[in-house]
Amino acid sequence: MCLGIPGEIVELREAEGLRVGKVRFAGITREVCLDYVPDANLGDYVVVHVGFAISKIDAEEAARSYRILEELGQTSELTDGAGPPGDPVKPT
Amino acid sequence: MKYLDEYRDGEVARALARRIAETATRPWVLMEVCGGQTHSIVRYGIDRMIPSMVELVHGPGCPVCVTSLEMIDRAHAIAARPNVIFTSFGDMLRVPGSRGDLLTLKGRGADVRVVYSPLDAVRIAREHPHKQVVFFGIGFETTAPANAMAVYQAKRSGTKNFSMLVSHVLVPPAIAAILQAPGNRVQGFLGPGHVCARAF
Repeated sequence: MCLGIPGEIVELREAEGLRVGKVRFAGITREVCLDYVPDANLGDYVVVHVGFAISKIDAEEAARSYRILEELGQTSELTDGAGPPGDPVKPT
Repeated sequence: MKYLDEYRDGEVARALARRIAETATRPWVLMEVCGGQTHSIVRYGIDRMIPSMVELVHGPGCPVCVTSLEMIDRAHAIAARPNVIFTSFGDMLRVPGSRGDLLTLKGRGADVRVVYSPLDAVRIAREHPHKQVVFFGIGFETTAPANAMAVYQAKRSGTKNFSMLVSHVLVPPAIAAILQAPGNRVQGFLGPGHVCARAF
């Protein structure tokens, strides 16, 4: 129950005074309460926890974080051969 | 899948581990707060990937693990009552109380049902107006708003046969207690992301 899983909003509607919708995760689609993310729209990605979207995934923020990770990946060649992971690399 | 695959790239993870190894110049003791983090760290061997001078200590864990025996016993006593449908997140069913777990009680004929969302419990209450439907409201900051919404929805829809056994816990006081404990070695925390989405 602790997990928050990202998924895409594929349907939006009102039900019993609540903002609800369908969110597609890898392979499955579930009914989710969207009342806590009033600015989330169709096609947005949200983190879902116990049937509630708890935050919108900011696409720009996610892309920026990923770019940083990618840059780290690219710079990894510089440290190749510097010893197996797990051992501290001595500064040269 | 978008937002999942990108963060599960082994090459990127190895590069990050190397960068941590380059950066760490003295021993660190860090505590991961959340059981989900512990699970990932152990499952994927992250504790063995990072330099040995960075020690990871397992933290308070998830609300399932920290629910008191007394609360499990209360759940057991309520669920055993004949006119009750007891609803809970699936994780709680195997947690042992002093008289066994909820799954065993279900096996003996008690009406114990697993729900995905607390709103499902409200729906069950509406479908069974002659039963008392009790939801086991556990969780950290992350889950509290979901459980609160279930109570709000029950009140708004006039569902009078819905109630909740509340056992919520807060993360910051637990962190403060750890830091103030005599002999504490923890120097930093890996924050629980989904709790942070809610609470901080």
